[in-house]
Amino acid sequence: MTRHAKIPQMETVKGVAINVDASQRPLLVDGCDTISALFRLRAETEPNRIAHREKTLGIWREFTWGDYWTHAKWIGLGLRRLGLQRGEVVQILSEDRKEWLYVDQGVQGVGGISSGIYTTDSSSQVAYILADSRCRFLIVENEEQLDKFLDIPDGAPGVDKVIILEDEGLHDLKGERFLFLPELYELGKLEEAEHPGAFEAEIERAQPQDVALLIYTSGTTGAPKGAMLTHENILHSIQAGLRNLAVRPEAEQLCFLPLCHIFERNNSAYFPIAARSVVNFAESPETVFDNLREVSPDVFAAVPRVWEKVYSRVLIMAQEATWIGRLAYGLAMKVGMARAAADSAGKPLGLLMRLGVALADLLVFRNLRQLLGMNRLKQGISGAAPISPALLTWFRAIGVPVFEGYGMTENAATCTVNRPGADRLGSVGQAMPGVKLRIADDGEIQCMAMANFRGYWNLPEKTAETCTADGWLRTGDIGRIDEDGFLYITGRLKDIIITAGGKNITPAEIESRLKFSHYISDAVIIGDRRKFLTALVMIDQENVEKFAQTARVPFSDFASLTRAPEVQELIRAEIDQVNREFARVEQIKDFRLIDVLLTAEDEELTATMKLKRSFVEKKHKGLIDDMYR
Amino acid sequence: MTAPLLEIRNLETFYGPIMALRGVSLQVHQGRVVTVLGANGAGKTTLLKTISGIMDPEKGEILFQGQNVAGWEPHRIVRAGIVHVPEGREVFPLLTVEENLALGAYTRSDKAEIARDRQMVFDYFPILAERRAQEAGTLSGGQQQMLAIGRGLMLRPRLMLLDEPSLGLSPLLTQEIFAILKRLNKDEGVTMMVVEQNAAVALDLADDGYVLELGRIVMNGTADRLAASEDIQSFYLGHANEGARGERRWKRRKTWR
Repeated sequence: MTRHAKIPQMETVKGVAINVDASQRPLLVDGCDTISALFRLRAETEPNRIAHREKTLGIWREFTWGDYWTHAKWIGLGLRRLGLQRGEVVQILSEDRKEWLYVDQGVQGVGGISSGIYTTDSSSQVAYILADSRCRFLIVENEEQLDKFLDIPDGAPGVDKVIILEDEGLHDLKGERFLFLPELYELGKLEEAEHPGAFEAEIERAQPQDVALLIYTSGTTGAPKGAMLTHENILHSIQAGLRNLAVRPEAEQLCFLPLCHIFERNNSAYFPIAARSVVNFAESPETVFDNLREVSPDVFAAVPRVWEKVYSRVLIMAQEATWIGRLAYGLAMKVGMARAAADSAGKPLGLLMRLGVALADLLVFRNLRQLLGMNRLKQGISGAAPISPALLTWFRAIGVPVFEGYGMTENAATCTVNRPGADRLGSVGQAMPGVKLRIADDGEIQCMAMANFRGYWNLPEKTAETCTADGWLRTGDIGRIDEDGFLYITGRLKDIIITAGGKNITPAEIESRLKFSHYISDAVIIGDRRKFLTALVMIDQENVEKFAQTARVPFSDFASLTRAPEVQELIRAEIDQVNREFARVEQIKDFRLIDVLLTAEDEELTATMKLKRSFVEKKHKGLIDDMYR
Repeated sequence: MTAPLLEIRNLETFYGPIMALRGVSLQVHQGRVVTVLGANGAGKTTLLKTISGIMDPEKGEILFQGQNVAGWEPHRIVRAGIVHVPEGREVFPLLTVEENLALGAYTRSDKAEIARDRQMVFDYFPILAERRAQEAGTLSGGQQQMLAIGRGLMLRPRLMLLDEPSLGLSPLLTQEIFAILKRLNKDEGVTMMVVEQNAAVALDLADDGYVLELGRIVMNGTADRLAASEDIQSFYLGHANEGARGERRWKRRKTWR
């Protein structure tokens, strides 16, 4: 492109031309320096290629890059006709669906900033984000999400127009502020007829350092902050993804985690634009496992909870199988585990063992992978929270290698990842290409990369707090780097507990050890300015119920399950086991089980189902006080 | 509290490969009415059938008066004192009302007592006395339901299992039958376990309740507590779901708190 005086050296990775050195400006992907330009290139080169699949009335329907482009263009131009200015934020309150991405590209195409709100957010949270981002245009999915907007007490005066994707149940909705998606398309068509080429011209105006999206951080503390990510940030992410992840042309993917989160956004919105992979939208959060089986993706990136669920399902299937099935599974698992152990130790397998592995794979694992929809998956990714090494080993054993990575909104989820050939259990992998890492004196992990964000929306002081004087990003995490460059995370800087005895403790380390238990879905360690440490534990409903059933422990509802003495004993044993790995002051002396089944709508949980320390401490103060009485 | 009359622990029942009950535990105390609420396919009928021995559990215990009766043949369960008033009434259509009642007392031999109980049934359900010689198949739906309940009473059960007594009945008749059930409980001290889809009448009658969903108990407590729960109100009692825009079609997710 002519706008860059000097084009750095490029190379082709998986059919896409990217920078040899991803820390050198300008970052280009197939010659494009913005996401929008790359999107335009893809749509113009291969308009008939399949971009998305969505299931309607039980049938997977295909939508092309041409559809993607046309609808995005209409949305962008329609919003411009309604008055959207460059640099203004458009919020999207919807479950994952193709229109989410149409809006994303439409908004970015005309220079707007696209941002998503979690569908599990309450009306007051929606109100906060709308006001904070000074949003004038809100996209809502349907009746249910619209009602959240209507419930905002002051009526969200800053919002000019609400665009609704589904009109079901809303035929008698009246008001100047509301319009349905087809009406927006009509406005877009009008704008295009009056100003042909307007969308393309807007795309050309975009600069790599322009903010393209806002990601509201699910932050486990305080009010959500909008992290500004630029086109260049995302292009770095794309380059790192192409080199290190399984993203590639023709690959099938499944989109099911919230698109407002950087993890799914990268995977399902931006990586596919670069790689031309096909994104299949899961019907709903409840049908993910069925959709997974139907799609059998080549690329699957998920949070640990999803991987844990897959494991639990297989375990339950195995328990309920016939005795032959159980025997076969048990034998195959032994062989698989031996292979996984040999693999991670880097030792070659003996001839007999290789034969055993082949047999186990042929008779058991191949079927199992097919049943799960993971027979094409060569490189699964786990991120957004720590995953148990034992679980990763189990997936290796059944022939589905899962690799743990690390990143955060503020570096566009581009930091470190394990990959085939450079993989160490317990670590989050080596730095991605173009990412520099260092550990500060206080143990904090800091990184420098093109992917590092521009700052928090309207919060210059917070932005300044997040960056060091020399421009590195402070991740807030504590960790160490080994001699081969693998990063190990040990905790959160902010969460450091100082006990009454003056001892500094990083709770995350203990918490993630607890979480590795199948019976504990999450835990919060308490003990700041207290004499000893305690824990609030959220049990894993499915596995604890299974335990109670097997051990013949009667229970009725969830609360009674948490009260059962046997369950208390079970968790106590898990905690005792974890305690053995820690020094005396770091041991948990007492614990309580949270006796309500928390859902994503509860403010104690983040969208990725992590407990929020501050909210948990507030809401369950009674339980905490009880332990220190 | 004294030991429960019926205590179910970790019950699992299958239809072939399909798991209908996924670990149900509940208690019924002497003299109480316990209701089990749930949508179609929740496992309510399966639960009653498993208790009365028509189906065998895969796992779990059914302690009746301290004795594990899980897996017993139905006739032994009946002799132990549990009577099952099945869904859809199931009276013997070609036998008369009196013959149906006589069959209810099949396991008993105390003629005088049987006659007294028959009179009691006729006192509670006068219409049955009027139709005593009529073939049961020619009775109306409501009358058949009364007969089925009456037939159950003829055993002098320690525990009566009632499967959807309101099924197919008019609202008025439903109220009438539930009023009689209430009197039977108050005056005769009959312990009952009532499975119902009509949550309003069931919670009105019952002392305690359980909510069954997909083979699991998701909520339990006194009938008053259940009736006050937001989830029960919007999902079982059909309370209006209104917001800023008037009537809402969507329902929020259940939390069972």
